[in-house]
Parts: sequence; C-alpha cells; structure tokens
Amino acid sequence: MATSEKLSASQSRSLKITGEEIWKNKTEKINAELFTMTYGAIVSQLCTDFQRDYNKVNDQLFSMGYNIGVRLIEDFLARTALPRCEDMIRTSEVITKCAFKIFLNITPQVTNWSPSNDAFSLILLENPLSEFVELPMDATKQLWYSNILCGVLRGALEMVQLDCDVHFVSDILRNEPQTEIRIKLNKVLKDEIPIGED
Amino acid sequence: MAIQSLLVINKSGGLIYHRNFDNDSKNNSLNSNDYLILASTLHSVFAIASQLTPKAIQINQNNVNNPNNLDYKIPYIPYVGMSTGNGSDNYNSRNGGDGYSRNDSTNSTNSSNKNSKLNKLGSFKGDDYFKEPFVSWNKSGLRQLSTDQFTMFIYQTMTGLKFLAISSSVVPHSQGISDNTQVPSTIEKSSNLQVQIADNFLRKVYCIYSDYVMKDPFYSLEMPIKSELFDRKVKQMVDNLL
Amino acid sequence: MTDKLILPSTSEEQSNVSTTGYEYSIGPKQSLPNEANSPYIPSKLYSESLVYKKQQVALSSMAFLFKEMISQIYNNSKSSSEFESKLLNYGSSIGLRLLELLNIRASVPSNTYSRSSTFLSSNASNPSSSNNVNSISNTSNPNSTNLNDISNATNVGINSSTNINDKNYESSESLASLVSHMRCRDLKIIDILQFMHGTVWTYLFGSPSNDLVKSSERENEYMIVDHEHMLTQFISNNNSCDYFVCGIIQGFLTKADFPCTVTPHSNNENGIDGGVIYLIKFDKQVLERENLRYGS
Repeated sequence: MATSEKLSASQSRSLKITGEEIWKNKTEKINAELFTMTYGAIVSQLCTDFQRDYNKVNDQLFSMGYNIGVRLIEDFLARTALPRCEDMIRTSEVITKCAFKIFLNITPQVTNWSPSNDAFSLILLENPLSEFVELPMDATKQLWYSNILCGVLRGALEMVQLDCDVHFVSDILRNEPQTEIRIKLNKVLKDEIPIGED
Repeated sequence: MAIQSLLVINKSGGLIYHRNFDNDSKNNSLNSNDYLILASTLHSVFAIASQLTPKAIQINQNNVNNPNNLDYKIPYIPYVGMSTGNGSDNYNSRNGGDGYSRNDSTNSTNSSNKNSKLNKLGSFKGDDYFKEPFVSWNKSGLRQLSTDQFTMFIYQTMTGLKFLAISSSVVPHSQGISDNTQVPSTIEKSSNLQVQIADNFLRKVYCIYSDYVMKDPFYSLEMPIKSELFDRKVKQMVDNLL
Repeated sequence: MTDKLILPSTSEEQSNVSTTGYEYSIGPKQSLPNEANSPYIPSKLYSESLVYKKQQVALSSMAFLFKEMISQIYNNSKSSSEFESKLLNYGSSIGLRLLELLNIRASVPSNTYSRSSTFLSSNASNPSSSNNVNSISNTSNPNSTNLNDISNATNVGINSSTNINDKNYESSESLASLVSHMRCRDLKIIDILQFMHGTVWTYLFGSPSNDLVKSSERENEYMIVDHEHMLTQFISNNNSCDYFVCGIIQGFLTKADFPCTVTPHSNNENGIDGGVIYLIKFDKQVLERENLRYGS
C-alpha cells in the first residue's frame, strides 16, 4: 500500500517545503565531516571502554541518543512551531521531511506500515553518521553503529507524549541491503499532554 | 511593550527561571519562595482556565472558516525584540509596540551586519529567529491576564513548558494612551496586538532556551536555569523591546 | 619524499597506531572465509572519502552531539584535569586525521573540484595552494608527474595485492588521480600555523580564524583567536569544553611533527563574549630545529 495515498498530497508537499525552507534559511550549518568524525571518535572510544562488548556499546549509544532527543525536541519545536500530529502517518512525515531534513539534511523514506498504522520503517539512503565507516569484522554481527539515532527518536517522541519503540532492523554497514529503523507506537501518553492544548 | 518579569515553568509546575527587569520593583519584589508559589499557582490556574474555556472554543470553531477568527494563528511581527542598531548590544528606541514599521535604513543596517557576531542568533540563521506566522499550542489555557497594574502573557510549548512574561503596560505605548478611556473596540484591538507581540517574543525566548539551555551539557532537565548566556540573551531582547 | 604521493591512510605512523579494528596492511575490507578466493577489490571508501563533498549538517546537531559527548566524559571523570585530557584526546584523534587529508585536498587544483570529466586537461595547472609556503624542499623536483606514476604510487600506497582495474579506478574518481604533485609539507612554524588558521579552520568552521598572533614575550607561544567558537558558544562559563578544539589543533600539529601543548583561554572583556584564544606552546625541540634550519 502506498503511504503517499494515506496523507493528502498537498499536506505532504507543504511539510516538504517547510523542511527545506527551514534547512535552507533558518538553520546555521557546520561541516558534516566534523560531525561524522566526532561521532566516530565517540563510538570508537566506547568500543574501547566497553572492551568491545558491542551490546553494551549499543545500549550506551541509545542512552546518549535519548539524552539528546529529549532536548533536541525543544530545538525542533522552537524552530518549526509545527502543530501536533493527528496520527502516526503525519508523525512519520514530520520526522522524515522536517526533522531529518533540518538536522541532518537527509530525507529517509517511510515504508512497511503495520496494518493498524502504528508502526513504520525509515529507510536511510544516506547517513551522515556512518559516512566513511567500515565495521571491524567482530562488530558486524552485533554493533548498531548509528544506534544513537534510535535513542534520539525515542527521546524526542516521548517528549511530545508518544511512547514508541525505536530500533534498527538492518544497516548497510553490516553488509545488509539497506539501513532500516523501525518505529512502533506503544501508546499516546494522554495524561501527559499539556493541559490547554485540546 | 516593556517586560517587567520573565518566568519559565516546567511541565510539572516547577519554577525553573525567573528574572525581574524592572529595577524599581526591587523594593517590593517577592522572595524566591514567593516565586515558587506563584509559579505553581499559575500552573494550576492555567489548568482551571482550560476547564472553563470549552464554550469559547466552540464559538471559535464555528467560525473556523473565517480567517479573522483564527485566533490561534499568530502573525509574524517583524523583529520583535531584535536589535535594530549597528550591531551594538544597546537597545534602540523603536516605534513602541507595533513593530510593523521598520524603515529601509534600519533594514539595510541589519543586513550589512549579518556577518557581525553580535547579530548572530546562535543556531538560527538570518536576522530573526523565525519569519512566518505560527499556530499557538495553547488553545484553551490562560494566554493573557490583564489587570490595571500589569498584563501577563503565557506561551506554552508542546512539551508542556510555560514561558511567562509580565508587562507593565496594558495598552501598547504606540497608541499613546495611558488610561482605559478609549472605546472598547480599540482596547480589544490593541490587546490582541499585545498578545501577538508577546507570543512572538516568547517564542523567541523559547528559541534562546533551545540553544543556551538545551545545548548546555551542565544543565539538568527540569532544574533551575543558571545559564549566564541565556540570561544575557533574554535581557538583550527585553531591552530591545522597550 | 615530497614528490611521492603518500595516501593519508597508509602513512607509516598510522600503521603503528595500535588499534584493535583493522589490519592496516590489508586494508579495511574484510575478507570473509567464503570470499577468500575472490579477487581483492580495495574499498572505495578511501578514494571517495578524499573527495570533499562539502556536505553539511545543522549546527544544532553538532552542538547536541558535542553536549552529550561532554556529559559522558564529565560523568566518567574524577577530576577536571582528567576531563580536560580526555576531551583533548577526542579532539586529537580528529586533528591527526586532518593533517594528511587536508594536505591532499589542498593539493588538488581548485578548478578540478567540480566533478567534471575534464580533469585531465587541468592537470597542467599547478596547485596554487602550494605557492604560499616555503618551497625549499621542492624546488628541484620535476614539476609534473604523469598520471601513470601517480596511480602506481597509489597502488603502492594502499598496498593492494592485485592490480587495480583501470576502469574501476576511473569510475571511483579517486582524488589521487587529480593531483599532479602533492602540496609540499609545511616545515616552518609560521607556515603550518597559517595552514591551521586558514585551511583547517575554514574546513572545520567555515571561515579562517579571526587572528593568528605570535607572543611578544615568549618565543615558542602562538595564539589563534576565535570569536565564533562554534562548538562551545552555547555553553556558559566553561572554558574547559574548548579542550576539544585544543585537541584538534594539538593532534594536527603534533602529527605534523610540531609537538606542542594547546590550552584554551577566554577572551571575554567586560562581560562581552570575545570568544576563545587557543594558546599554542611548541616544545623546545621545534624552535631548535627551526633555528638550525632557518636561523640566521
């Protein structure tokens, strides 16, 4: 089923334009290679610190991402002032066309919707975090190199009262055909939606 | 529009920032405990107000097709709180509160100063934090509280943060009216404009918060804000608003 | 040695770095057991990563990543000096990569940066960037090297076990094939600092640093003045976070054989944020060498 049918084409296009406009005109930028190398330095240091226990590295990256996500959401909201999404379809569009665009200048594809429209996958065709990276052999089975992204998504969504599971399904760094992140909505934290918004 | 005080309240009603910009009020200023109580009281009043609003909302929603009644859509008011001068930190006198009229010379000064660090807005590119109308997330809560002493404005984010500004004025200075003798429609109009200016201002405080508080590794979430940079940037903007 | 192309990833020193990840003499490509007999094709990563694509991410993303890195290091450090040296090491691991990377990029004639297929014709033009540095070591070298030699040098450089298919190479657009000869190494303090102040700073932060100053009091001290301090601009009252950029400078200079220590100093006056001054103190041996070589 085509996801584009699920959202009105004009709404979808306007989010795309919003994202591009903010990226172009309202966002200060920095060399992506510095970003890539800094992340690389962090991951490689973690691998050393945890003595190549990659499961621990994954957890640590996720937790770092979570700490970023719960703060990054404020940047995103202050910058975009976008209204609350009425459903996960809209959420997926905002994540890919606005958030990924504004922060990383990439637009992942949304696919693999669950029948109840509460879970979807992001396909990352490019990934500034893993640019120039090849995993050592012992890491290819366990390490999710860009796991920080899952933490960021999880933290940011939680702050707008969407309790989601976010995890990597596959990564081209592990010689898999594509880089896929799965996002599944557990529940909307209705009690925590700020009073006054309804 | 002179801002007397600014408060930031976290999602659980805790006061995480307050600052008085009015030196005269030093004598009768509240102590920090009073401020904590004030914050949590406002947090509750905000919620109570929200319970009282549904009727007003219904009226509004009926008129949703009428663009004049889209109350939550806040127009972009150019350069609210932005420095118009030659890159100095000092504020410059501006046309009171309306903020609409900027002559060409100040515009060109601004663009020529784009490279000057003093005019840089952190991670926000350009000469203003945003330039488009936006929709308020605060639909049924308290947005404005008017007394004959001061006016209070509240901007609430989707994450539940409240940014609160207390202004000494009831009507914009630009109207040149210092009492409440004008016809009701003018009051309403100027008060509406005040809310819009306040929302523009407070969203910018939110932008500053997202830079100088959220990106500070030594800040713990939900805790009082100690950032000197946040302090300074907010003060600068308040000064520009005078 | 300046006329020979040495690929950044395969310099001697780097192969001595003890890491647990790769066998550098083989290269990054893992040869899994079932692939052992298949012909070895070197990873495109090396050649592709040399080409500067000028991609950007939001400053916010970098600031958040930086913030979280600082938090992690801070929580795992027992003292402020431990924090500072750890942060310095993170920066240093980046700085030492930049030396050869930016050097080879600076060796590419500027008009070939556009991804045109006509780079062969522009080969005759000299890399202009090498003109502003001292040319003592390079004057006697032949000023042009033909492409064959270069790809030979490249082959040696990445230590491949088989010859690289020429077509394969063309398609990967190796930067090495665009370089007629390497920009010569900076041998004087002032030259390497100019490179840092201009090329490195522009690469990292989009513009040269605000100033490069020599201390009037001490012979071995230099200062780089940075008003923007992009990475730490959101952090109040904490100079120690600037040790990251200190690390980049120190790693870069030390790798270039200008061992030094770099410390950050705040440039604030009257409460106005004047940015950061990076104070570079070269080791004695650097000055001694300089005096021996260039002293009057």
